Amino acid sequence: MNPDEKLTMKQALEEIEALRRIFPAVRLLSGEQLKKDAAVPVEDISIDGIKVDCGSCIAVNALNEKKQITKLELSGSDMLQVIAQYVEIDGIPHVIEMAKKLSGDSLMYLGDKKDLAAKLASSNSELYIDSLTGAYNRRYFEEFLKNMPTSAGVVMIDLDDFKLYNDSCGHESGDTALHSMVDIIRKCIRATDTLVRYGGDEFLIIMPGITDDRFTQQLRYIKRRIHKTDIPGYPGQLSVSIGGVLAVNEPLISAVARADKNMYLAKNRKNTVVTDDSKLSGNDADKLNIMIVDDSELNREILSSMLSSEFNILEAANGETCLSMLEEYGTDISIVLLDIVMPGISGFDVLKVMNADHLIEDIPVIMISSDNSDSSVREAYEMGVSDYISRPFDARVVYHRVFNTIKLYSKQRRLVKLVTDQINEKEKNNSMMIGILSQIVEFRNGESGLHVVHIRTLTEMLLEQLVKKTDKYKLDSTKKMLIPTASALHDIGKIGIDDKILNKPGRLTKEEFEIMKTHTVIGAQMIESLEQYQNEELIKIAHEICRWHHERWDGKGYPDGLKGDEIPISAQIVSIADVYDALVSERVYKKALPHETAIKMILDGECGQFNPILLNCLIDINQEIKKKFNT
Amino acid sequence: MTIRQCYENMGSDFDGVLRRLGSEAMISRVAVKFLNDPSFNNLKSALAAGRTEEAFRAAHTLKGVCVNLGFDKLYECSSALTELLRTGSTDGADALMAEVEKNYEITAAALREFRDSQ
Repeated sequence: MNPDEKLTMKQALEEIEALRRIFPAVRLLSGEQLKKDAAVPVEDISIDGIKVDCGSCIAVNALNEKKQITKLELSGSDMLQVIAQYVEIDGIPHVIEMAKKLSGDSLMYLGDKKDLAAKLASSNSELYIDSLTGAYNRRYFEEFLKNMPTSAGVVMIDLDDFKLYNDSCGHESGDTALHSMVDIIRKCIRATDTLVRYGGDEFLIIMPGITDDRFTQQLRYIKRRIHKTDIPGYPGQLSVSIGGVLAVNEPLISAVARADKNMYLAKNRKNTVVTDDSKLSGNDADKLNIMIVDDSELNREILSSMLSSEFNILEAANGETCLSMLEEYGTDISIVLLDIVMPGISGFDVLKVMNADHLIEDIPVIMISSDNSDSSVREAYEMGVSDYISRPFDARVVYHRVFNTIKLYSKQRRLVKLVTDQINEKEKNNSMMIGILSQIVEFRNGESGLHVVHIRTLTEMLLEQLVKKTDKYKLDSTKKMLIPTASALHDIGKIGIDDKILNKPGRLTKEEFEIMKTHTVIGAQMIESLEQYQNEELIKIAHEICRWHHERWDGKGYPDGLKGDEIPISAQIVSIADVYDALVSERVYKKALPHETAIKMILDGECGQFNPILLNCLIDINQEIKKKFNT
Repeated sequence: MTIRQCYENMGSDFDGVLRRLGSEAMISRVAVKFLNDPSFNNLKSALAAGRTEEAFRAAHTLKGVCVNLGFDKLYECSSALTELLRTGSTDGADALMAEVEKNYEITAAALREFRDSQ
């Protein structure tokens, strides 16, 4: 039945009779009857005495949305189908409601039942699954989990310094890191645990049934596994800050808030786990941990008494214990004082392991040994030791050396953060300046102000596609960033062109065109006059683009008649982008053309000659461009 | 008996230790623990059983402890024994061991006397 059909009452009743041949239960409900405050509330429709749960609700929805809504419901072992169809009878809104029982027979022709079940189950999954990581998404949390009473381990995991890596190494690298991290987490949790992508780099894990004593341990295990794994294309080691709480019959959202607080405490150190249990286990939260490794109890005692007033002391009597404590505490330990000669594995063996695990980069080691031979000292330094304290121990020397080394490492960590923040600021300012300057140029050209933005976007898209197709142009991540940035400057030479020519509404004469062409050379000259920046990559690329974005693949372009790959790839890309944008935009001398026409013209060589590889890229991302530019 | 007297009884430079470890209280507490340190006994039995590697480590540890606690005489002779055993040789080990044993007894006796007088 066509929902737009308007029927007379006579026609409607005829339709209903016909429907009765297929549906054992059919009824007509008027808009009035379905109103919330109707005099007589509508009963649920029933078939063979079996009532459909809330059948009237879909009738109300169908009425309000003016369409057909179907509901499938399992009642005991029977599958019931209810359809509510909106229809206008004599101009008045009505709903025809029909219901039937679906027996095994009637389902026979719906294909493989398993596929059907999967399709029904999955029709919501796109809504609730995060496409990058496969975890549940925030929406799922908000709609289903938030207020659920929970008694389980609730964990908030945040990837350390993620923004830094994402911005400086590219989003692909960031995506890989997230994806890998989730894979690792999955391997460490049980099938009964739930993983939710809570934010950009924040994940929530719900662990029902985990015991108190295993909880902190398990989280530390996850943290270490993540830190140990090498991620291809990602510099350095991933680390996470983890906050965990054990919820006891509270709404999930309140447990999440507590876990979040713990996670923020963990963030102070990075690569750390904080649970309520770890906070209370006698460790003064402010005191840093020092590990002393020496087989002689006496030596440990001496060092310990020198340092215990300021620090929390952990002791290990041999290499094996040292390593297992490092496994357990990781970067919760601020420094290790390590002896060399010990039974079992030696101090050097410990260092070897710390190097392999990359722990040496995060935890400073000071060698304490009566073995002062040159070769030992040298070998220790080569293995990444920060300092060497010889015996006999002098209390003040030991204290200062330890304290200074710790200070140095934590200062280093803070500096990294500071520098990162500054780099991000500078890049933002950089982009703003270029944006403003481009607007100035465009203003005079009488262009919309969007031309520069479009060129940048198109250039980026073409670049992305190009590197997927070939690496013959050696486009590293720096170039991939600089070329779109520099593209904003391609027409700065137009500032030197007379207004009368620039904004002439009609066709340019031959002489006028020759003058117009000089904008390439003028732009290049403006860039060349920046004496002090000639060696900067950005400037070199800008120069290429300015001068050569009107060259043609066949050598018939201007100003220099460069041919083929003599034209720098940056200029080639901006050239195509420029042509496309000119075609699909309104100009003083022409109207805007539709996307397909523009693409066709470019591919047919009507607007210049281009590198065939680039033309293929254009074809590849054709639809994306159309969507992005709404052309 | 003061800890200073104890050290003097074993022929050690007390001022040196005091400078390094900071306080008499700290020295008193830690020095007495030496009586429980197993290094000397480990050294003795390892050497007797001909386990040279083990003896070396025990001597090395003993030497380290002595230098930290300022047991000068015991340090010197155990240091000498350590160097000998480092090479894996036991030539002349017995003589050096006798020195070590002698000085150990002096040191231990002084410490016991100090401990019992507290």
